Amino acid sequence: MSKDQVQKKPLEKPKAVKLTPIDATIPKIKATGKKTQKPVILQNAKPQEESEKVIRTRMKKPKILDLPEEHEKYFVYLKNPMEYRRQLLECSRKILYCLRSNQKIALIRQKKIEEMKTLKVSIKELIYLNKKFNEMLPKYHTRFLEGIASEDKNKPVNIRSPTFRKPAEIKQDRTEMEKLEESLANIEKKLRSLQ
Amino acid sequence: MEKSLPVFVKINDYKEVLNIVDVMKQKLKETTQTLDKIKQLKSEEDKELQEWEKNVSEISRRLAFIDSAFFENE
Repeated sequence: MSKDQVQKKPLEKPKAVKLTPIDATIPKIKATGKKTQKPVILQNAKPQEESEKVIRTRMKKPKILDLPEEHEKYFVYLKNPMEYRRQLLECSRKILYCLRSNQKIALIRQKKIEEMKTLKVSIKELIYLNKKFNEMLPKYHTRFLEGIASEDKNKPVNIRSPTFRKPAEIKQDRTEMEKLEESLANIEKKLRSLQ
Repeated sequence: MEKSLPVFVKINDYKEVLNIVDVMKQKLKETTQTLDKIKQLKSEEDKELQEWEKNVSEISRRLAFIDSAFFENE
């Protein structure tokens, strides 16, 4: 259907007109070098002339940038820009993954600290119970220990006089670590005496 | 006094000792569970760190590719 035929027809009320693709417009579109989609045909579509106008208005004109000559040297030819864009997007995605991992690790560490606190409390309770348990058991008889000591009389013993001890060695505020070290030394001493 | 002599404990103390042992067993169980949880969390953390490392190496690889493409004309 040509343009003249359409103009001769008086405009009627819009009906359900089935529009065919406009052949006349195709060469014009091709001339601009732009690909356009075929117009979508709807039941209550406008007459062909109006749809033609819509198509023309939607067609983008190619932009010609008038840049000064000195700006041209800043343009670099990229062989496959889409590939680079994809790579950059992948990079962004990976960075976001890293940030997510960071958040996860922070959460895990928080949980771990809480669990460590619980463990510390449990161990303290166990130490206390162990102490109680030891208190319940009969005390070592002094003679029993003396008898063991007499067996080891032949071994050289480092005897320190009470004056040897410096006043600086007396610790007023012992840390938790020092207390534990002392307890450990006591236990080891007891074990050695039993062997 | 010989080493092999038997040791006797008072019956009241003995009952208390049994109670203490029960509580200690319970506490030990709790401690083991907490340790297991910590182990699990540690493995999760290690996994996340590995993932992190993998992502960082991937990013550096891609950036190297882009860098080479952009500056190959220089």
